[in-house]
Parts: sequence; C-alpha cells; structure tokens
Amino acid sequence: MKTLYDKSVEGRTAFSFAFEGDTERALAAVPAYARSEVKRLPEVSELELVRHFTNLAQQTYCVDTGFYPLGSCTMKYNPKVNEVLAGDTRLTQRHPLDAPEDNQGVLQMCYELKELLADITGMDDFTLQPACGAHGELAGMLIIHAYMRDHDPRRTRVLIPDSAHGTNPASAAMAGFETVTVPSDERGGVDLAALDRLMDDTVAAIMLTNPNTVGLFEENIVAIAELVHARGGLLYYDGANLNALMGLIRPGDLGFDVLHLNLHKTFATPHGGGGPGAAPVGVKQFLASYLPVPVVVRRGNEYALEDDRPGSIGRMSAFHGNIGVLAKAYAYIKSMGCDGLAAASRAAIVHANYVKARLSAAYPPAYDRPVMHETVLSAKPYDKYGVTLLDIAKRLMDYGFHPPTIYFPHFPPFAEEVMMVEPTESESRETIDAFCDALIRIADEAREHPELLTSAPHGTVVTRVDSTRAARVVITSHRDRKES
Amino acid sequence: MQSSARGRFASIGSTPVEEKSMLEAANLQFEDIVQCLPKGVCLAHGLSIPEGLAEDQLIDEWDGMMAKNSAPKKASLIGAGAYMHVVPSTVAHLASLPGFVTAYTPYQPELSQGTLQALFEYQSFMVELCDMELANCSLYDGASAAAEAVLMTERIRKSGRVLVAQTMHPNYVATIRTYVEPHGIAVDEVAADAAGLVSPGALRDALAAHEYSAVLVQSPNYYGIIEDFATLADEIHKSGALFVQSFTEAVALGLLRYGMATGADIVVGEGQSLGLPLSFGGPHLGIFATLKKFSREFPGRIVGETVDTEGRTAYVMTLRAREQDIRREKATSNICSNHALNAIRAAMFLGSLGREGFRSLALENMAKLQRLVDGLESSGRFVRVFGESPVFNEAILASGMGPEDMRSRLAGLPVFPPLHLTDRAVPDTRGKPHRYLFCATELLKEHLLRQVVGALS
Repeated sequence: MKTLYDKSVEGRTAFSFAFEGDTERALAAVPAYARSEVKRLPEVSELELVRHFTNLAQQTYCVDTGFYPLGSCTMKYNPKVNEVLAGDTRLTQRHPLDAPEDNQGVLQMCYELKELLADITGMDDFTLQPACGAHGELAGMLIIHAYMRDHDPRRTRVLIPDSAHGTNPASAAMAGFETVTVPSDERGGVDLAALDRLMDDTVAAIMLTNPNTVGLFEENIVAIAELVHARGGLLYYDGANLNALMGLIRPGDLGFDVLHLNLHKTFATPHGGGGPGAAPVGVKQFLASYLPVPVVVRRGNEYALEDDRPGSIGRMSAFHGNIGVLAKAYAYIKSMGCDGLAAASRAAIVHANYVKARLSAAYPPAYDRPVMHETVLSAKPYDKYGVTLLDIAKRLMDYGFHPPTIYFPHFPPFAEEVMMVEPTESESRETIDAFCDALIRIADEAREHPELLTSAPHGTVVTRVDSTRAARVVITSHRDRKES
Repeated sequence: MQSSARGRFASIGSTPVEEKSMLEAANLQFEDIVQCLPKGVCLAHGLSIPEGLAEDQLIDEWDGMMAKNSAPKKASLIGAGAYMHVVPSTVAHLASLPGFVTAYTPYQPELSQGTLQALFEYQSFMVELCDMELANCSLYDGASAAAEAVLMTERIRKSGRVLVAQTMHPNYVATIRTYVEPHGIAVDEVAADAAGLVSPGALRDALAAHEYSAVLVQSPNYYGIIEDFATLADEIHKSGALFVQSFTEAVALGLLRYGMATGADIVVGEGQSLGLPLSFGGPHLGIFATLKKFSREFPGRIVGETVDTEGRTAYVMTLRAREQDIRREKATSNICSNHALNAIRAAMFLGSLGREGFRSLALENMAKLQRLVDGLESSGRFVRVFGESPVFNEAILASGMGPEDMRSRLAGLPVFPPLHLTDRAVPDTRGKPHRYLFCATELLKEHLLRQVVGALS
C-alpha cells in the first residue's frame, strides 16, 4: 500500500485548530543557531488519513479478528470495558507531577492493583513502574544485584535454563551479571544434577519461567528452591506463563523472591502490535526497600507516591509506570475475581491439553505427558517431504489462522522444527477444533502437495516476504527509499 | 458480590460442560494434569481476592474511585517532561482500531503489513524530525531511551564514563544512573552557566579532565531554554565522545534543529506530545534515532522495506541480529515489547497535522509561553529567571507567592498549577524565593490565559 508520503499533496491537511498566537514574534525569538527548516512531513486530507490507517489496520491479523495461538505470548481476548475505563479522561488527563492529593482516585487504583497482585502471586510488595516484561526483568535483576552488593558481592553470576526466553539472559547481562546456562533434563525440567554442580557461592540467582516454555510445570521446583536458597542464592520468577497457575498455586509460596508479571499476557491488556505493556515487579519483604522509586503507598486513608527510599535501585523511567495499561489489568482482575481467574487458568490448561491430544498424531509433542497452558509440537516428520515448519506456519495463514510461535524453544532434543501452541482460555471449542483440523489437513498436504506449503501463503495481502533482502538492502525510512 | 451469572465469565470461551468433554476427548482428568504441582504448596481454597464484578458493578466502582481525582483540566501549567496538547479526534479514533490494538509484535509479516507499514512511516517521520539516518520503532519513554543511549555509547567507546548536562530532566539523569549502576559507569554532570545553558567553558574543562563515551545535552532543557547544540558539537567530537541530543517536548521538533546538522550521533526523546494523553505518566513513547554506522549497535526493533515473492513492496522487522531472542546475553538491549501502538499513534498525529500544521503548533506553543510570561511579569509578582535566554514552551519564573497560595489562587480554574522547583540550583532572585517551572501550550487559550494571569496578579 502507498505510504502517506506517496499520498501527500502540498496544501492539504487533516488538522483543524484555532491558533491565536503571534507567531511572527515567536519565530523571531527562535535563536538562529537552533531554527530549523520546515520539516518534511506529508500533507493529506482527513479522509485520506482515515482511509490510510483504517486500511492498514485491516491488513493486520489481530485477536479481534481471529485465533492467535502464539506460545508464551498469551494472546487472550482483551475485554472492551477495560478499554473504556482506561480511556476515561479522569485518568488519561492527569499530569504525573500534579499533587497526589488531587489524584487520589488514580493512586487508589494503583495501590489496590498492587494488593490484588500480591494476593494472586504470594508476594509482599510491588512496583508498578516497569513498562513491559523485559523492563520488569531488568528492574528485578537490578534489585537482586543491589541486594547482593550489600550482602554478598562475590555473587556475580546468574543461572538461566536453556529453555528460557532470550530476554532472561539479556536482562541479567544488562543488570551486570554474567549468565550461565543450566541444561534441561530428559523430562524437560531443570537438570538437578547440573544445578547442583553450578550452584556455588558466585551465583546470585536463578531465573525460572514456570510453567516453562515447553508448557511444563517445573516438577522439582521445591527442591530447586531449597538448593538455591541453602547455597545463598535467590529465585527470580519470569511471570510470562502465570496464566496457567492462577488460583492453583502462587510463585511466592514456591519460594520465589522476585518476580515480574506481564500484564499484557495474563491480565488481558492488549499487545498493541508490540506494546505498550506493563510489568509490575513483586518482591518478598526483605527486598522491598530496593524497589524502584516512586512507590505507591497508603498512609491512613491517603495514597501517596514515596520517593525518598534510600535503599532503592532508583528510577526505571521518567514517571510512575504505564498507568493507562495498569488500569486495564485492574479492571480485568476486578471483573474476573478469585473465581474467574481460577476458571481462566483452568480453561487455559484444558484447552492446551485438548490441542495436544488432537494434534499429537500429526505433530509429535516434545514430551509425552500432560502440559499446562501451552504445548510444544514438532513438524520434523515433514522434513522428508521438503517442507519446513516455516512452510506449515505460512500455510496456516491460508486457513485463516495466525501461526503458533515457531522455532522456539531451541534447546535439545527439540532444537528443530518446534512450534509452541497456546490457545488461551478465551477461545471456543469450535475455534480450537477448526485450528486443529487445519493443521491436520496441512500435514496431509505436506505429504501430497508440498508445493502448496512451500509457496504459501496465498491468501494474504502480500505473499512470502523476503527478509534476507531487507537485511541486505536496508531501507528503514522514506529517506532511504528515495536514495535506493 | 454476585456476578451477572455465577460461574459464567464473558471472557472465557468454553463452558464447564465443554471443558469436561474436551478432557474426555484427551483422555485426561483435570486432577491428573495438575498433579505435577507440589501438593503442600497448592492453594487449598483458591485466591482470597473478592469474587468478580459484573460490568455494571465494575463501572460503578470505577466511577466512585475516579471521582476522588480533582476536576478535569483544559490545560496544564506543568510540563516538565509530560505535556498537555491537542489530540485530534481522528487520532483517538484511528489508534483504537482493533488491528492496531489487539495484534502481537509483527513476527509474521504476511499477517502484519498494517502494523509494519505504520511503524515504517513512524520511523520515516522520526528520521525527518530528528534529522538522523535511522530511527527504531520505539522504546518505553524518553528517560529509558536516554539510558539506552548511554549503554550504546559505552559499547562503542568503552570509556566507563559519561557526561550529562546538569540542565537535563532530573528524572532522566536518575534513570540513567539506575541503568549504569551495575556496570560501574560514572555519570558526571556539567554545570549550566549564568544563562541556564550548558557552559562551553565548563564542558571544555570536563572533557579535558576525563575521557567520556558520551555527552548528553537536552534542548529545550529542564529550564525550558533552547541549547546551542552546534557550538557544543565540535568540543565533544574533538574529545572522542559521542554526542547524544535529547528532548522531553517533541513539539519542539517542529521548529528546532536536531541531528546531523548539529553533530548528533544519537537523538533520543519523549514522544508523548505527539497525540498521546498524559495518563499520569505513561504509557508514553521513547524516540531513538542514530546514524547508519551504528546499525549493529542500537537498541530496539526496526522495520525495513523489502518485497514479497511477487516483487510487491512489503515490510518486515529487520537488523534483528542485535536482538535478545537471537543474541541472548550478547544482545544490544533486553528490549522485546516496546511502545509500538504509541509510535503508530504518533505517526497518525504527525500525518494529521502535516508539515505546516506541526510547524504552526510549535510556533503557537512558543507564542503562548511568551504571552504568559509577559502577563505574569507585568503583574510585578513574577520575574523570569534566566530572562535573556531563549525558551520554547516552558520557563522558570520566580515569585514571592508560595505553592499553597499558588494552588488556591488557581483552584477554580481548569488548569494544572505550575511545578514548584525545590531541588534545583537556580539563581536567587531578590524577594522572590519561590521558583516555578511554567508551561504553556496551544491548549492555554487566550481567555483561559487571561484568567490565569488575573488569578496570579
């Protein structure tokens, strides 16, 4: 589709505003050293603008149009009342530096959200500041870094299972740690013998996702927690997969000392095509003094933002966090309640196991036992027909589905051709069945008409996109385009 | 409390009866699945938060809570990193389209051309406004973008030390300190001169005393003053440091010069002013732009243009070898989700205003601040601090009026009162001990501006 620049005609505008100021005087006051030429932006009418972005939105597959079973991404439905409440001008038009006494409603929402999250996870205190999962991981690991600086500075390494998301090692490194990979055992969990060998007095913490990225609950978690704690380390919980556990078990009770939650996964805030999300970080009491500032607190019946906390790791961003996202998660938790959250996790687990059962003949599961909220399946059997997992994923688009997460996780023995399917609780049985039917049919096609897969997708606005060329001839702006 | 129908949840797709049949089809009992959970740790009676509310109940509770905020405002005299600006109706409408709101990161480009192209257009606008060679498709906010810029310059120059202008937003400097603390990178501050700008002399001295990976300067700075990037650039580059230009008020991009023409290696800033609501501090928009020679070093995601198998123009995330899902602990940043929807919203905003509209908006902001300062100074109760220095839409005024008096005088007007500065070393103004950082935007319409001046006179 043409870009706005392609559509631009000088003199058009989509903007209407009654300017009042003496702009000549203003322009004269701009120092010569700083005054720019008029910057090159497109000029389009309001209808052109509306059509442009409406058409772009229609070229994007989304939860509101179809099934989006991306593993570890928890693409659940985003309830619309949450959008309505978060769009309330009594929230959206609050200035972050306005006096707390004039913002008691929004601060109360934040404080209550902290309390709700504490109860759901079994943690003692929370910061709401981190902007998304990786930012939460960084905050959490900085807390552990600061704690170890104060208590045991030899501990400069962090253990991370080979099944972990890439953000875990990246965040640990950004927080100043050296990372050490812990292998998985044949049952898909942390290899206890390896952990026993690696867990020494240079290790500050282990970062775990539980259920892990193969959808399995870490069976030895109690033993792992005992071992790590006994040897002076801490446990970090990556909340990416909390959607399996609500109302069943709490990370805080399992021995985790620090965690982050992806509100844009478990707590139903929309992903926005790549954010904004929000990732509150919870800690046990002994780490509460390290939380980033400001912290939302209650003093009597008043809510306040506490800045003066000497042990704090400092600020993670300019203000108090992604309040507009926190509001949606708050609304979600209040709507679901204890019973609804438990029902959501239960349905998510049932759906994932149903998918696994329906597909395991065509796509062998990584591990032959029940899973939690997602399942990892292999497309390896179709290698011999010259069909890759990527081809299968692209062919799924022709059946109207977004593909699962593909080529992840990449640890042995399932390093190749695996897809991670997370149906979430939101979907109906009919939708899940239709998706499974499509994947089974694609398996037949792989045997009989592999060219249907290798040339897929056929029904999308563009056919297969050449990402190699994009990396070779780098065009990342309209300026580059003119030059190329 | 009683939900609309107990046991039924609008956002769960299957009924308990269907769940039962799915379990049967899978030849499983739910209890078998969860037997992997350690028994002694499982919750015996579930969560202790209240039961769920029906939509009408939720809205009622929400209304009660939001009523505790002060009355809505039409304009803000506080800026300081978050600015109240016009949001065209088109922007609010388009940014709520489900294709943009309820999609994931565009890992599958064939199903995500809309998101990808919108982000490509955002990047194009940032390249123009910042006058740089490439812009990523967003970071979280201006402060974390500044911190990422510091980490990037350290990867390139490895001096273990960066220099920031004392006139930078204090929360940005604080965020930078948080990010660098575990790496032992020193953050020095270079003082402002009597005019409230980075002092070339102090900068020269600092650069002579230490080797720095980067120098960060914000314009308009925290005092609202427009810095002279070009004059500073030579000194910075001669020392071997990289020059990071930053901003908190993106509307200034419509009028002021940033980027390559003034020697920038990186431009970072806050994009909230581009059609995003204040939202009590977030989610906002981290803008990050740099030079092509750093295309293996910058943080965050970027969209590139390419073709499909039919040769048609198509978009895809590119230069991915820097990222965490591929490079793990060796990635240039841990960032995964960013603020894509806000970047798209900024593109809608800029597309709406266009070339002339955006420039006019910037000029209007400057003009409104001039009117406000004139009005307050002519009352005799306020005097501008750094009065000779050029400002954009913020300025510091000193007054004998205390913050409580200020608040009560403005209480009846639909404006947020200005920021009372307590933590900044700015010159003393005789008899006027209180310093306020005032902001004026296009939303401070003339009639309201007069009321504000009247109330404070």
